[in-house]
Amino acid sequence: MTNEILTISNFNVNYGSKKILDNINLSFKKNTINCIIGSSGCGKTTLLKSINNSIVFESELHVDGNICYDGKNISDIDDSTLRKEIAMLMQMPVVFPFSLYKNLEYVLDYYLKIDKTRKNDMIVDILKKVQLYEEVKDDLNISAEKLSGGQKQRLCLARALLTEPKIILLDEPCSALDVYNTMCIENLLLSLKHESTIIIVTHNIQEAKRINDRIIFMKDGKVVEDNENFFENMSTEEARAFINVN
Amino acid sequence: MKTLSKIIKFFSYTSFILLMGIIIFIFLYTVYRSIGIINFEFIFDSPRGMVLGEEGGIFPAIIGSIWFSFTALILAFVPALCSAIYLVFYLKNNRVKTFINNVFENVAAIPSIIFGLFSYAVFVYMLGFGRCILSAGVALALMIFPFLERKIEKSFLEVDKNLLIASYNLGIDIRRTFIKIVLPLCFKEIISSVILSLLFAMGATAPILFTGGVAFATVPNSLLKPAMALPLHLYLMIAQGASQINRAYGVAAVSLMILFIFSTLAYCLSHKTYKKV
Repeated sequence: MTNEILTISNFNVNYGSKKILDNINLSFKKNTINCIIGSSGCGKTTLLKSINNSIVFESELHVDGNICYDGKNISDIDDSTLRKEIAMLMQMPVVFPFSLYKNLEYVLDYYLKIDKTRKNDMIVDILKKVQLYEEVKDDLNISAEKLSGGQKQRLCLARALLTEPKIILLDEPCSALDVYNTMCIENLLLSLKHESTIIIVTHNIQEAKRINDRIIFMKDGKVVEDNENFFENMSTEEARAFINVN
Repeated sequence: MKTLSKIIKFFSYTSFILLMGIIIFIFLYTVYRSIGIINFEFIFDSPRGMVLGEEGGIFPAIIGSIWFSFTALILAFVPALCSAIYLVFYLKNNRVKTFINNVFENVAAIPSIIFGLFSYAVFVYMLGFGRCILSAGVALALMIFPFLERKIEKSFLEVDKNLLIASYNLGIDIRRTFIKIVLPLCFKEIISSVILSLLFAMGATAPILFTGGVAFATVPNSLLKPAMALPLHLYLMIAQGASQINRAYGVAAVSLMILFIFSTLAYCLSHKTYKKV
């Protein structure tokens, strides 16, 4: 039984004649936190979007190569099923324009046919899991748009966790958050790795240091270094230069 | 730069004041000229007299106009909504999308009498429906379809794309995303587009001229009967000469009142429903 949940092979993304991703070959083990680092525009977010096929929302990108999830090519998996299994959180948390409760109910109603009591229990449980319950327990009907940035990000994470994803993709989830909320998210990710594989794009090197099981360093659309002991033993000059600058 | 900004500001304000002034003038002048004409009999009676309309009222024309416009709306709304959904959420090929959008824009530019002629040839003559509300409704539906479709499509395009992507990223399909997120956000806009289209159809004369509008008919009770319509009645009264002009203003004032009532209803309906979302 293989421990790999995701394999990317000979994967390229082009925008006209410009290469956004250049021959990416990576595999991801179950229950690990994989941090992707690199300067802006190096293709990190495109790589994340490729994994759950949300790259199709970007027009005029040409994609070729293979991404296999759980042994199956993602092009053979229905998009809805794929995105249920591979959740993605964007850099700026996007909450739906209704109450906090309904944001979570929206997902539950789609996947489960359960009664109100069970639904309430699940919502409370998931809010506790993302450490948001104590802050919002008195008013679950508050508009989700009124929450703070950190609360919104945790709500988005809670919403994604309701689909019980096997892989969670995060695109700089803490870039707009204060220290408290950043620590909250980091602790959450550390606890979630026992259930899911986490692939996180970050610009925060300290954050990557705190939570990583493995670092993937990208430059100009290529994977330059893929290392489980990145900070102790960098093998490329580019990676050393990047870390020194950051 | 400051001078340019002042000039733009001056023209903006002047245009606004001029436009509002003209609209208010038309409204007040029409109401002023109809004083003494509009009464219970004028609204609820049928037209009578040696010259039709010099006595009696305009009730069959009011009801006829409502029949014409609602028939057109029912025929145009579903295809317009479905086209807009398909173009925004399902059609991925940008070239085909551009082509379809160009077709709709060109259809919108076709003179409305041509739709009347088409409906006359196909429905009145070829299919044998004769001059009736349905034949006229088709002509009006063709006229309002591109307008309605563009307005609905525009409202869908204005929804924040990140909301849609966030929903798709949860594995939720387009249908559910549309019903739960897009539709509530666009509801107000759709209702106002529907009402505008309804009023657009209500005010059109050319498409119903050969297809279903007649100088005199009783209150219609079937889609397969011809009917009177307010704009056609107004046109015929003015064509009959100066003696009818004040009664024509009465018809115009009633048309404006219907417009006002429908706009207010639309506002209340959309506002109330939007608050619930």
